[in-house]
Amino acid sequence: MVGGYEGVRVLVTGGTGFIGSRLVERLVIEEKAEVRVLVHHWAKAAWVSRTSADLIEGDVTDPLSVKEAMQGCDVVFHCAAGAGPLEACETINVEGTRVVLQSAVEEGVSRFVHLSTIVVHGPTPPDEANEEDAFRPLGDPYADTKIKGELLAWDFWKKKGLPVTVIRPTFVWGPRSPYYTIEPVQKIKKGQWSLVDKGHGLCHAVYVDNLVDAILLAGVRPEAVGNAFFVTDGGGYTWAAFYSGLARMVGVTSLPSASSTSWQMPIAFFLTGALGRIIYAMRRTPKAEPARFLVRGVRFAIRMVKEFIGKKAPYPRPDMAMYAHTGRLDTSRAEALLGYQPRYNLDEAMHETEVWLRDQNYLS
Amino acid sequence: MKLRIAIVGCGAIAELGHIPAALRSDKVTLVALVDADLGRAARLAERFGVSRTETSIESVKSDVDALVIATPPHIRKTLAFEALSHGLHLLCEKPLANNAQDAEQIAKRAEEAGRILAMAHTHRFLSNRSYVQNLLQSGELGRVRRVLIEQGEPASWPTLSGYTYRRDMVPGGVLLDEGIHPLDMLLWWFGEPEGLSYEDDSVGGLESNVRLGLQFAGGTEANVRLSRTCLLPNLIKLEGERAEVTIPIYNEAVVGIKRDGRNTNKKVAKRSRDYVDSVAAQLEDFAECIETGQRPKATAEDGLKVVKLIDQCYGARNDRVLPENAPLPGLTW
Repeated sequence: MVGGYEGVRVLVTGGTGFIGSRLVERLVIEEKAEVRVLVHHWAKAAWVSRTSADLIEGDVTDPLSVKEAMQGCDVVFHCAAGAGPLEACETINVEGTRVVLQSAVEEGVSRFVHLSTIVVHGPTPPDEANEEDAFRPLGDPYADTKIKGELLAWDFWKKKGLPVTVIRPTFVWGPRSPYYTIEPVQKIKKGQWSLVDKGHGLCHAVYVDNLVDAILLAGVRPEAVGNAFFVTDGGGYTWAAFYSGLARMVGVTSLPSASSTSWQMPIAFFLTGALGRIIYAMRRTPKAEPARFLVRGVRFAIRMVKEFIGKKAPYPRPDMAMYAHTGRLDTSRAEALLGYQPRYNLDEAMHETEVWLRDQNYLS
Repeated sequence: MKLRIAIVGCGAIAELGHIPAALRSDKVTLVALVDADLGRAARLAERFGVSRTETSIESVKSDVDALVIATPPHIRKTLAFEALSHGLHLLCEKPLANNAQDAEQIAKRAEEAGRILAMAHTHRFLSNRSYVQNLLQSGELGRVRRVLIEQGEPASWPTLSGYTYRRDMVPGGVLLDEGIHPLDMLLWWFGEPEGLSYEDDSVGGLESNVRLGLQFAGGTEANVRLSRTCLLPNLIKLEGERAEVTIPIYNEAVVGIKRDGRNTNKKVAKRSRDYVDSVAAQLEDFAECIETGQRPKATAEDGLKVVKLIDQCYGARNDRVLPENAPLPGLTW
């Protein structure tokens, strides 16, 4: 328990998502805070509705619902984020963030914690990079709009005095993590997951409960205001150690590896991209035979070829670079100003994750 | 003559089930859509070509014979009482009410009014469920020792009001929502249980994962697992002394039978009907019962029995057992 939240009224945007829902649970159950959650899609509320948090229907892009949800709140955790096409990312990550920030200023909240991402520094930050390192737009809608959203938050801190703290988590894993736990486990089971460079790259991942510790500290420590923080599990393990831990859960003892420096990789990227476009162009299946049979057959064959070539370049370029990266992150600021120490080491976090995956039927 | 109906409540279940089912059936005429949110009713009316929209039962009472109550359950009692006072028959969405007391009052009022109250326990209309009911009645399975039900998938129903996640509208989560159908099946097949054990994962809110054990007369044990956070096998398995039967929850056309060590897949229908077809079958059963005075396949009494059982479950609630040495006691994943 971090402390300092008992009876405090808190708003969590994105509280039905992976990180937000865990934050809500910890705030309600451990910290005894009075929590409100802005709910955009009710069907996503299955985790968070298990708690006594107040669920308020709304949307970060709708100032009225944000204002209603924020009324009387002292602390705001802005976890809502959008992925996908540029327009959706702009709407949620930039305009939605603006709405929440503005509403927080009007409400006069005492703390605003903005959840950003390590991706604002690009896939391969320089060795020993710290929070002052430059932003590096990727040309990717999510990453680039997260940069814009964070810059907006700093604007509100500098120009309107909103007490902003920014958390830039790395790759968040653990129970309910769609990208760094569930998807890899499902693909490892099917033999569709590869390491890059035998997994020698340094893994700066963060276990979700470690991250939530840091977020909670950021909401109460006075030194946190006006600062951004990297949060990791300590950075002391490789991608091989990380993915081997997940692989063991499904009885897989070794994972294949792709080389980030192979001469075949650019060709593989080119071919898989081209084949992907062909499959997309053939996405409509004719109703009449034999055209139907032919189209399905050709599509299947192309997919098989794409899968085969794809083994040389199993991930998009930025991910390949990220997995191959051996640079370290300087996370000393979180230790110094937040008093953050990862509560779970890799083995403990793997154990918790395995218990959850088993319970939720992902390992059978 | 066709039964004249109005659908009260224009949420997802009306849009995806009751309205298209009514339009597909030649036994009913859909006269109007009723919803407090007239805009929503008008949008659906335009989309489905329904000519009339209203905001109250009062406005349609003289022009219809029956209502489909497709609202969230917290207002069902009020609406049912009002409809019954106008002499209308009712097809009620599940659950009949949020608690046994309200359900009992609705059932009693329908009986006093001499009107048909049918429950939307749609799974009773599925071919493999009826097939199993016949197997049980004929004794072909022998004494059933064990029943295992695993039903779950990550929530995706496009609810408008979000009632099933809202403590201000319902007292329970997955059990009171998706749990109705499997519990109704158990009650239909084995009668009321003699004992139960129940645990769920709510931590001050509404449960999304449930484990339920039931003991029935004759020594039949049932274990039910429900989830709206994860994908489960979605199977019902009955282990009888003479044969084992496996039913895929979402494919009504098939029953797996294991007898004398041999597995066979029996086809009990030409195809698995889509959701609208099974809702239409339910609506037609309702219309037929009104015409003939027969009992519907799922009655108010059946609706009451399930809600009573759910009340008992919540009454017997134990917190879900935490993983050993959980570093954060009090928190369940």
